[in-house]
Amino acid sequence: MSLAPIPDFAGSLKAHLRRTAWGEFPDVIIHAEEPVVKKHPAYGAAKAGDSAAAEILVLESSPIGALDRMSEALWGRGPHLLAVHALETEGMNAIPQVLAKILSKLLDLPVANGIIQINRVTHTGASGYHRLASPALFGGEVTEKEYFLVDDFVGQGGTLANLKGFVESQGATAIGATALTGKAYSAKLKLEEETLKTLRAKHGTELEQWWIDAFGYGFERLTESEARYLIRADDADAISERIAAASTKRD
Amino acid sequence: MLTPYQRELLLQAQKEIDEWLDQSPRLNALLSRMQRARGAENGDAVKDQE
Repeated sequence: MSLAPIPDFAGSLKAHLRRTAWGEFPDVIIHAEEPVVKKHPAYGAAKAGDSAAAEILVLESSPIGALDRMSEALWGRGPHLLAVHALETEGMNAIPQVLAKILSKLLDLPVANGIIQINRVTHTGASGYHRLASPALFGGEVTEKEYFLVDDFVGQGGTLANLKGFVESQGATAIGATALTGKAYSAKLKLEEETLKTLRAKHGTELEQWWIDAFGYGFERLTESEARYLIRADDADAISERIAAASTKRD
Repeated sequence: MLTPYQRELLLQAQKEIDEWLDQSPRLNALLSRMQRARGAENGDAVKDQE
């Protein structure tokens, strides 16, 4: 085995990147199928920061059925809705914040302000390794005890996992998450025990130590989709090389 | 990483979206329709009980 050197980003990432144990974290509630959202005429403008377009997009693509699933998931609890509020390549993505606000009105829940993504990443259309090498980092004031996380899209789930880690490392709890869209198989963030075993059996402890040195957390805090993605790699060397290569192209 | 100015813009935008949607005719119309629908459902439930 010949792993790549730990990427240069490790120091700065570890200062901000937090992942916490999955516990009983429930599946992400996905409101609409991807084509409904991404082919909607308002999608581009909403992604670029147009709040009015985001409002139309959310109201026209979010079926009421997802609200029932959210009500069931909340079990009468009243968490603050916390959106992934980020500056992206296209501009300030307005969709998560607008979705959070609309859900707050429909479900009578408060919205949390004051926490934002503090780096700029380009995840849309990016490879899995690029996503892993450029994680979303968060900053701001964690003032509430319970949060329900809100994003426009769930792919590998790393962004939601990092937001969960950010609030939980400061004493709060993330009790669930919702996304306007995403693939059905992406809904499961919590890593299955069997997937973790398979990942460790295939790629070994040396890669996991490399991962801890690079990202500051062990494999048990990967999302289910991230772990499955890594399992598909030929060997540990390939993973470390691809992460290192993607890190040189970070945003 | 974002500059302090970019972070401030993002934080400001959060508040503005919040305030703007509070005044949104489209969203408020939807909420009114939902409230009326709930009211009608409750009314039907009362009639059914009677």
